Amino acid sequence: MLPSSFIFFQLLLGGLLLGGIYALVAFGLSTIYGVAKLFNFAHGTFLVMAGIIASYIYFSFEVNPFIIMLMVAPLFLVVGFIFFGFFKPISGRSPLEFVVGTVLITVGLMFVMDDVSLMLVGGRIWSIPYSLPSIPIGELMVSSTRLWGLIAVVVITILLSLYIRRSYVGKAIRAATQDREAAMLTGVDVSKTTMFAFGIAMVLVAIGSVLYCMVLTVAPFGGFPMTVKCFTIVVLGGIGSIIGSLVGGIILGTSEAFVGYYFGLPWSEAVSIIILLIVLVIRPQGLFGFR
Amino acid sequence: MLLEGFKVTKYFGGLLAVKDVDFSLEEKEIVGLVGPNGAGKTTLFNLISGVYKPTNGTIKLNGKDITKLSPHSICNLGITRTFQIPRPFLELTAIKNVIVAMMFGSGKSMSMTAAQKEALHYLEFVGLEGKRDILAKNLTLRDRKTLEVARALAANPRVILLDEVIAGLNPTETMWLMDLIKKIRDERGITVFWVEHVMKAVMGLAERVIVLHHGEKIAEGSPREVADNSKVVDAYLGVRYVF
Amino acid sequence: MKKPGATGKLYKLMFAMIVLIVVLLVFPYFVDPYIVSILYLLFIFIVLAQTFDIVGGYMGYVNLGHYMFFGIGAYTFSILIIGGTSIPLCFIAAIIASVAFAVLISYPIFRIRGDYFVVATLALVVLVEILAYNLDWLTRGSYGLSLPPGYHLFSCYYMALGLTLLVMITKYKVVNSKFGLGLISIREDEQVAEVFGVHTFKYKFLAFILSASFPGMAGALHAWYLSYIDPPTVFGLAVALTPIAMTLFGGMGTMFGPVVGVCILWIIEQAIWTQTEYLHFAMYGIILILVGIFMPGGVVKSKRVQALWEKVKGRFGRFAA
Repeated sequence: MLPSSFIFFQLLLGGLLLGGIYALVAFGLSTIYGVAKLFNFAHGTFLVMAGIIASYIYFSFEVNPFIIMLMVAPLFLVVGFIFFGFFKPISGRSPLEFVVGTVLITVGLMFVMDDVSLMLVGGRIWSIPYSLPSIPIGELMVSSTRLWGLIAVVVITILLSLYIRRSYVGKAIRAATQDREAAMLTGVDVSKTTMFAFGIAMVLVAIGSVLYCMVLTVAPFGGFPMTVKCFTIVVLGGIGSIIGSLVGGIILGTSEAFVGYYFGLPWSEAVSIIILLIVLVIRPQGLFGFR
Repeated sequence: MLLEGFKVTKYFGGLLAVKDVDFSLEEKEIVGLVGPNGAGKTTLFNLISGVYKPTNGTIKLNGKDITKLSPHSICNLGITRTFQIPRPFLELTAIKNVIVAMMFGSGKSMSMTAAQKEALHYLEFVGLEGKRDILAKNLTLRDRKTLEVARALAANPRVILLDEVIAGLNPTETMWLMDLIKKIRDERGITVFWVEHVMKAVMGLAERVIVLHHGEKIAEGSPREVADNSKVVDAYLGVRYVF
Repeated sequence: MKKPGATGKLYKLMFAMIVLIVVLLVFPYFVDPYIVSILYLLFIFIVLAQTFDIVGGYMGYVNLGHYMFFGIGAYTFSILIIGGTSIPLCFIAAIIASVAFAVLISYPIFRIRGDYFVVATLALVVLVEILAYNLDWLTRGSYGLSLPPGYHLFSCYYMALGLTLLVMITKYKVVNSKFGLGLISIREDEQVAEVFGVHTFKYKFLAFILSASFPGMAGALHAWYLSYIDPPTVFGLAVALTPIAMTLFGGMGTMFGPVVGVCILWIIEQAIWTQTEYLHFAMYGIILILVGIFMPGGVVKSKRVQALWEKVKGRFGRFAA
C-alpha cells in the first residue's frame, strides 16, 4: 500500500505540470480574446492537430520532443496568421453579427479539422511516450519526464512573460487588450497586432501540445473538452494575465487530478465546467483580469 | 418639492465621483447643472435615473424614496433622460424608438396602433416626423440627439434630465432647441434638469444653476449669482461671464 | 402602397398558407414513410430553431445550450414512461421539467452578459451531457434508455406538425406585440431599455421559459419516436449546435429566417449524406465557415439574397399585384 503522502505528491506534481501546460495553451486563448474579442471554440482542436503532427514526427523520425517543439512552433506561427485571416472580413460587423460569425467560423473549423484528421489518420490515439529514468527524491521516485516537462513550462513562461512585457509586439498586444481605440490612437497597428496575437497563441498551442502528448494523449474529436478547460482558465485567471493563466491552470489541473482520483474520472470532466460557470456568475473578471 | 437629493455620494471603488451633493427641483423649473469635465454631472444623472446606486445619500421624487429603485421603476414614476452620446435603438426606426418609450415608460397601456399615432406627435414636436421610418442607425448625429429628446418625452415624464443636448449645434439650431426646451416646460409642465457646457444657452434659459466641481457642489443660485461667484470663475468659467 | 393591393396580397398569402397546411396534413397518406420521417425531423428542427431565435435573434442572448431543454424533455419523458406513467402525463411532465430547469438557471445565467453568456450556455449543455452520463442511477448513463417499442411515425408526424404550427403562431404573436418590442430593445441596448421602462429581468425570464417549453415537448416527442435515447443523441455537441447553426445560417431575428435555414441546410445534408460516407462533419463545417465569413446576418438578411429576391418578385410581379 503506497503511503498517501506519495499519492498526494504524485497527484500534486501531475496536477502542477498539467496545470502549467493548460496555462500556456489557455494564455493563447486569452490573448486572442483580449485583442480580437472573440472566443476561439477550435482552440483545443488546434492542440489536437499539433499533437498529432508532433506525435507523427516523433514516431517517424525519433526526434527528441524538445526539438520537435522548435519544429512545430514556427509552423503554427504561420497557422495562426492564416487563422487570423478568416476573421478579417467580419471585423467591422455589428457586435451580434460578429459574435455569430466568430462562433460559426471557429465551430466550423473545429468540425473540419476533426473530420479531416479522422479521415487522414484514423481514430487511434496519439502520444509522445518519451521517457527518462525516474529520479529518487527523498524516499519517492519521481518521473523525470514530468520534472523536465515542468522545467520546460517554467522556462517558456518566463520567456513569454519577458516577451509580453518588453517587446514592441507584446506591449502592443497588452495595449490593444486594454483599450483598442486608445491603442489605435497612439499609433498601434491593431490589425497587425491582432495577427501576431493569433500567431503567438498558436505557437503556445503547438508547444503545449508536445508537452501534453508526453503526459496524456490526443485524438480527433478530443479537442473540444480541452477548449472548455481553456475557457475556464481564461475566465478564472482573467483576460490578458499570464499569472492569471498560471494560477487558473494550476487550480484547474490540481482540482481535476484530485476529483478524478477520489470521485472517478467521469466527474473530473465536470470540474472545469462547474468552475467556469461559478466564476462567470460571481466574478466574471476573474482573479487577475484587466477588466 | 418634486425631485430632491440629500448628500448623494458615489464611489467607484476608490474613485470618488460625487460627494455629498444636495439638490432640489420644484415643479416646472428649469435648473442647469454645470461644471468642468469630470465634475460628476453625468454620474449624478445616472444616480437619479437608477443606472447606478449611490454609495450614500437619498433621492426622492414627490417625497417618495427612489434611491434603491431599478431604472424601469424610476422611469414609470416619471423621470426620463437623454444621453450625452445618443443611444438610440439602432435597428429600430425613429418612430419605433419613440414607441418603446411610450409603451414601457409612460405608465399608460395602449395598443400598438394607438401607440403609432401618439408616437407621431412626439416626433412632430421635435421636428422628426419626416424621418419616422428611417432606421436609427441611419440617422445623422443631430437627428439622433433630437430623437433622444422625443423618446424621453414619450415616456411621459414629470422630470426630464437633459444631458448636453446643445453641444455641436450651430447658432440657429441652438436657438431652436432652446425654444423647444422652453416649450417642454411651458406647454407640457415638465421640470427640466439640464447639464450643459454651452454657457450662453444654459445661463440664458435656466432659472437656477448648480455648479459641480470634483464631484462636489461649489455653488448654487441664479445664473447671475453663479457667474459672479469667484469659486465658479476659478474652477470653470475662467473669466467673469458677461450677460 | 395602395390599400386594395395590400389586402389582396394578404389574402393570397393566407390562401397559400392554408393550402400548404392542408398539403402537409394529407401528405403522409400519399408518400413513402421515409419522406414522412424526413418531414417530421424537419419540424423538430424548426421548433428548436424558432425558439432559439426568440431569445437569440430578438433578445440578443445567444443561448448555445438551447438544446439542453430538448434533452431534458426527452429524458423526463423516457424515465416516466418506462416507469409506467401514462403517455399524456409524460408529455406534460417533460414540458414542466424543461421549464422548471429554465426557471432554475435563469437567475444566475442572466447575470452573465454578452460573449460570456455565449460561452456559459455552451458550457451548460456540455455539463448536462456529463450529468446524463454520470447520474446513471437515473439515466442509465451511456447505456441509454429504451422505451417501450412501438411504431408511432404518423402520430409523431402530426404532433410535430401541430407543434410547429403552434410555434409559428406564437413567434408571430411575440414578434408583433409589445413583448417582442421589449425583447428587441433589450437586444439593442439593455441599459437604455431599462431606463425607458422595460423590466428587463422579467422579459428575459419570460422569453427564456417560453423558449424552453417547446423544445421540452419536442424532446419528449423525439424520444417517443426513437424509442431509445442516450446522452449523445439528445445532448451531444454536434447535434446541439445543428439547429442553432441552421438559424444562424437562415437569419436570426426574422420571422422565417430559421425556417429557411433549416430547410436549406436539411436539403444539403440529405444530398451530402447520400453522396459520400465520409466527411459529413467537414462539409458541414465548411458551410458554417462560409456563412460565418460572408453572411453572419443569415441568408434572409444578406444583401445579395435580398437583391435576388427583389428580382424574383419583379419577374412574378403580376401574380403578386
